Amino acid sequence: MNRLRNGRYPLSLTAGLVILGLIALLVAGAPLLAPHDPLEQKAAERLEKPSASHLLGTDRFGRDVLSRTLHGGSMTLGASVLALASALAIGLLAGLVAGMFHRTWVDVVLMRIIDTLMAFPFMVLAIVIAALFGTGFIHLLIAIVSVWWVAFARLTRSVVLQLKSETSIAAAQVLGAGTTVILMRELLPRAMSPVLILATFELGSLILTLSALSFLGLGAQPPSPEWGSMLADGRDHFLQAPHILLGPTLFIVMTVLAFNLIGEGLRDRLDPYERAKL
Amino acid sequence: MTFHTRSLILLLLATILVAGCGNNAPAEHPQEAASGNVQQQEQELIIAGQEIAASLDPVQPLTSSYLRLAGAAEALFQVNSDGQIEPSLAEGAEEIDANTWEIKLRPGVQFWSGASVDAAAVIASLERSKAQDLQAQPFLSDLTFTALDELTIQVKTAGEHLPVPLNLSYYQTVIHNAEASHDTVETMDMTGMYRVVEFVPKQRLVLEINENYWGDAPTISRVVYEEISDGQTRALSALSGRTHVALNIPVTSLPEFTGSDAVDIVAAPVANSQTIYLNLNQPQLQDVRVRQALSWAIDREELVLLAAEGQSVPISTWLSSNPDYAEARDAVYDRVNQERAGQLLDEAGWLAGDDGLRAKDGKVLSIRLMTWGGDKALGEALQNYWSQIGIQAQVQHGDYSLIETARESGDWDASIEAWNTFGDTYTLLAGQYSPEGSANYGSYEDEQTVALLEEMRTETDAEAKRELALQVNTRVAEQAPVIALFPRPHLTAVSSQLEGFKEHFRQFENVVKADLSLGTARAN
Repeated sequence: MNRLRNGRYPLSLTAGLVILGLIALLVAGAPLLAPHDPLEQKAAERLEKPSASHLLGTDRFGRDVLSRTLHGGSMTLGASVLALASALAIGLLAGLVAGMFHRTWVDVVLMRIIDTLMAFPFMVLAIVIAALFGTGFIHLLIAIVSVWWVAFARLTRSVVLQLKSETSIAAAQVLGAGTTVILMRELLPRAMSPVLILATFELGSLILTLSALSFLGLGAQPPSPEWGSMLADGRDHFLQAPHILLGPTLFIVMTVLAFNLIGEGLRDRLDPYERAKL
Repeated sequence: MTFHTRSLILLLLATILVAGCGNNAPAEHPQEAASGNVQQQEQELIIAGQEIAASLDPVQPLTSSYLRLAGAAEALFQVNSDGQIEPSLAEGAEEIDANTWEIKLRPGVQFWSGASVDAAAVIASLERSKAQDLQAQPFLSDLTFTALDELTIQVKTAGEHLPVPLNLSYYQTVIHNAEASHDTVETMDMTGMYRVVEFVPKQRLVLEINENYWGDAPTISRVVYEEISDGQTRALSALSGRTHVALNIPVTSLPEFTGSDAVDIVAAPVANSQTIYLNLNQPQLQDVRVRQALSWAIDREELVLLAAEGQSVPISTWLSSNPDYAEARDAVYDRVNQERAGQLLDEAGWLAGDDGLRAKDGKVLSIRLMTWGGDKALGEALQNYWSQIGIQAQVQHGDYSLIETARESGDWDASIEAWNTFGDTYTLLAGQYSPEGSANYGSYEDEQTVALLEEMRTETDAEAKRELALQVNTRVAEQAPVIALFPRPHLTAVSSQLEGFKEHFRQFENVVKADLSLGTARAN
């Protein structure tokens, strides 16, 4: 409690980590925890209300909603983390290079690419990719990563530009450190904090976007369970069997909330100005 | 709570407040337009459909069906709700001999432009459809038209006793001014009681009364037909009173209409077959045993429940959705038989591996089923049946244009579509199963089927022709280039405000009639 009061572990960070930990545990343990096969169809048990045998009821095919929600999480969360990691890697690299070679053609070209991507409607891009290459999670990830790295690149570049003017970098240059050394040893570690904070916020948005695209039929294809596509399928029976929507909705909301709390906590913890307030 | 979070909440509250204070002008608010003051002189009928034409030209695929549905287009004949042929732009037809018909046109009929609908104009229209609309060819390719005088057309038929009036009742044969350019609202030229005044492709079609209409003038002055592609949203639009007629209501929405006095559900029996079309150019589907296995594996009884909410009946042959051929419903695949399916695949050399998947020569037996519209659940159920017999089944759900594109490129295994089975059986069967049939998507070519079709074409005795139709139907089911599942349920939500709406087994092309009127809604 003293640590909490001292601001070393902000409450939001702790709460976010606890919620995320619980969700991760449930999702990772789906093969053991799920009471039924998420793909098994039982027409005789379709649209059953929550009961002891089906805690969240069944969908139109008689599949257990709880089992599908738990198994669906691995696809939603796994894909989100994978997309974020890819976007983060590309964004960091692009930002570092653009910042390091500020006002050279490299910087100009990268910035114009970023400007173009930021101006392009993401949903349209995702639909174009789906139309060209077909629907499915891989193509969806390609669409997401191709746009999502931009935010990280811009942030990294601005951090690098700020750091470049510091004496420590000038000292490293005077001592003969090469560009790569300065990038990897001086700039990258110090750029990581703000970028990681942004990443936690972005992960929440990413999950929502993935779910939205799956809801539109651009993501996971049947019969794979995925939170967004489960919502889309359950919508047909919304008035008749609202319990179908309960599981995926709850997990999406809690996951996004967890990441937002973690992001807020990390910012409080790592941002010197916010830390001063605490 | 941070400043950022507080700002977001404040912004949200402000947005709700602003939205709540918004002033929607009544004239621009569709809900009020639909359910508002019925005493007003300018009545507007609002129809919501799953799709709307991408073009105004009636020779473009399906465009003529939308134009006919909305009261803009007419054919020479029409089919009433009892299935009887009635004259429309034609005054009557007479069979002169086994190969000749004479059609008398209605005098004084004009296109919207004022041009006369005479024999020459009608023949030009039909010839244009025959030349440019693939879907019109099954009805027109065997007919040769000659103008005997200004209002009389002689029709010579390639076969004997062809049902010419029936062929000329299909929406693909609507009469349009062949000399007009059908690119824009201003230049298109049809004959219907309503003329198109506004068209936004894939969004809406707005029509107003054609003052020079030859028949009874409609009561409702304006018709708006709009696309609401999502079935659930269409259902809600009907329940909320936003639309007077909502077509293709999903069967899953039926419970929402229970107890509603403001909206009636019309579920006229339809003659069409929800069918899986297989691409016989794909190596794994060239073996008839694989195709038969796909059909044996399907539990049609259960499928009707899972994919049609029990609002249909199982059929295993294509023609049997037509009530006249109902006896053929279980003529071939009378029950689900996964054991038989497995045996057939074993015989075909597709053996199950340790992972349960069947493979031959190192290649896994896979099938990609393309679905669209409200058929996603159907695809998922079929995927489950096929997976159970060791087939790696994938469902690709998307827009119909994806299926069209895939068919053009040949990159498809299976897709789902429902075709009408009512009408001249030879024309329908030839369109589906003759090598040059416009709906023979999978390139099915079978000597016995072709021979039976030829026999049917020349047969003049009605009973013998019917027997041949049943033989073709059975032969096709055995060869399984397509797999019939069940008649697609057609549910239409109709506002109780709307008077004069008639159930029709071809509802999708028989919505707007002259005697429709908007009255007062029943109390809920």
